[in-house]
Amino acid sequence: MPLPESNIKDIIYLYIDGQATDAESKVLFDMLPSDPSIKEEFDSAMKLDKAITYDKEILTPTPELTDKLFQKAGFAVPNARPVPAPIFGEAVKNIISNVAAGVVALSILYSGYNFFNQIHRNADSIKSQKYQSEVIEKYLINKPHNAKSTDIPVASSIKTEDNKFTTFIKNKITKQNNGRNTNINKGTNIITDYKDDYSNPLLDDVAGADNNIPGNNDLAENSQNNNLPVENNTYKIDNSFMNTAYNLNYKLGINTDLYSPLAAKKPSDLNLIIELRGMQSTNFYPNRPIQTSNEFSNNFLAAVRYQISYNQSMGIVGGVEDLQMYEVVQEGKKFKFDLNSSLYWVGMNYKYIFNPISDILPIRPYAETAIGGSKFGPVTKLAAGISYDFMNNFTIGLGYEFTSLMYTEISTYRFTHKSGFNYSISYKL
Amino acid sequence: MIYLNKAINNTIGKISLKTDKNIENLNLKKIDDISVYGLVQNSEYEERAFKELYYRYSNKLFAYCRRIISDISAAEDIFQEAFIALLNNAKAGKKITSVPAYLIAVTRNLSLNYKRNHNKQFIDIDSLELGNYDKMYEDKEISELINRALELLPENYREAIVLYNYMGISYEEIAEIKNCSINNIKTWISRGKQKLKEILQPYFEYK
Repeated sequence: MPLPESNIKDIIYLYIDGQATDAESKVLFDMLPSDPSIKEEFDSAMKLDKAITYDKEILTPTPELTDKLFQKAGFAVPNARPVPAPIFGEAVKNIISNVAAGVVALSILYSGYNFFNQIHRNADSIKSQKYQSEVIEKYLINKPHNAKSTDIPVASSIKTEDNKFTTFIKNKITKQNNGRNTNINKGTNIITDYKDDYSNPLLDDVAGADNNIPGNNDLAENSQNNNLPVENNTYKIDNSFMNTAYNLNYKLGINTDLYSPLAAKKPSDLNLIIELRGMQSTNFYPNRPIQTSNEFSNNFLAAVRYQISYNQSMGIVGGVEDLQMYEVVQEGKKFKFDLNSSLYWVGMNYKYIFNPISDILPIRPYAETAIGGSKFGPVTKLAAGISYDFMNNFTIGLGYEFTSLMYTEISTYRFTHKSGFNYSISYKL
Repeated sequence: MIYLNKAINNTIGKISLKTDKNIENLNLKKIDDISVYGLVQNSEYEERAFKELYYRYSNKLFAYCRRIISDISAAEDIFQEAFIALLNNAKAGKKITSVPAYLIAVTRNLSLNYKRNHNKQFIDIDSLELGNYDKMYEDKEISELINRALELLPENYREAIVLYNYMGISYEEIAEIKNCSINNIKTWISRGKQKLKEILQPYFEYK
């Protein structure tokens, strides 16, 4: 039974497109020699196919259209005139950019420091007064009997002419002395403590008087036994605060951090520092547009360091950082690219904290370096900034850091870098 | 401070520190479409990879755009927008299964929007005067005739023919795009070409 004409025509075009089945092709070729109309249809279909093929070949985007598209995409235009070489190299520009950002940031920090420093310079600063009173209370009232009565550390900004301060100290001493009179020599930078009604305070001890002055009994006893000179406990307020404070503590054998505005800290038993750090990335090299969705939790480090000396500490650091790189795996001719935006790494770090830059506000610059490893390769870090001891054993830090990762990509060694700000809090055990 | 740093960078210009000779040595022509697409996500390969994809599919997509949208200017705009969409999609890290399929999908959506906005109407073949066909036509005029003839076809016929003959994708892929059976595609293409032949027959007789 012959196929309907419409079916034959369908088969012709399917055959030309290579979509006819073997059975359909056989039917077509069986009918072609014997049916002129089918042959004519076949010839016309071939012409149409040829015309369409030719039409497709001449339909190409013009160079102008291509240039326009590339310009829209932000790429170099193939036929464009060469761009003049920039005056500065790309690397120099980036360095200048980051240095400028760092200078601006440090300027802002320094301005803020000066501002708060100015506040602290006020003689009526309760914090300084409290510190003075605590130091004096510790060293003046509870002064060990073998300590020399010289060079008691007080800030130079606190003067005995300050009525509020001297009244405060006087009240403290008077209270300690159970209400006996205390004279403070004004205008001489000298505080004379508990000059009580008795000419010789030692006689009180001998007479069994209750003077409740810690340490004085020992002095009296030793004085009587060893004929040590008895003298009024006069103390000079020294302007060279830091050195004298350090020297005094050294003499007293107390290993404390005197650079806190509050009371001297007790000695550290473990000499361990635990630090938590966050980071805010500012620049990536190379720069990739893909950012992590939760940057705060993707930039977190923890460190445990041992304090080697007053300025140096060294220990272990580890955590996660926003460091973008591609993990590339070649499978035959195909390449599989996985974007990694989180880098987990662990390593060793060394930190050097300089001496305070001011005796008013104990801000200490620091420099730090770290080296470690990750799944993809070695990681190195350089950081610098400032730290501030804001309360007992707690220190906060703010700085700028540069991190570098070396990894391999299709048998090629590559580097990816990152810079940004860091903020930290540490606690000394 | 962070925004200040970024502002400074924008003023001076964003840069890449390292120039790697290995980037230039990587032969993208030997790499499959999806891998090249993945390279677009990498800023080091972005430009080369995008251009590689462009040169692979620009002719086909341009032909497709020109034969789907009659207006030359609109067709060029849609052509550019399709590639820009591919670039943005790659830079955003979004995965695709096929580059030509993605380009076709974007182009179809854009062309549908264009036609909707311009309220394109089909013209009855019998009422259309295609001009005298009693003289020889140059090849480029044949191309224009084909364009006008395609306009006369029903949308499904036209799109199926253009997708197969101009974009170069298979019947099966067309069926996936059009969300219909392959038998429908076979019917649309064969019937559509029969229509084209009827329209252009007088002009072919002189070739």
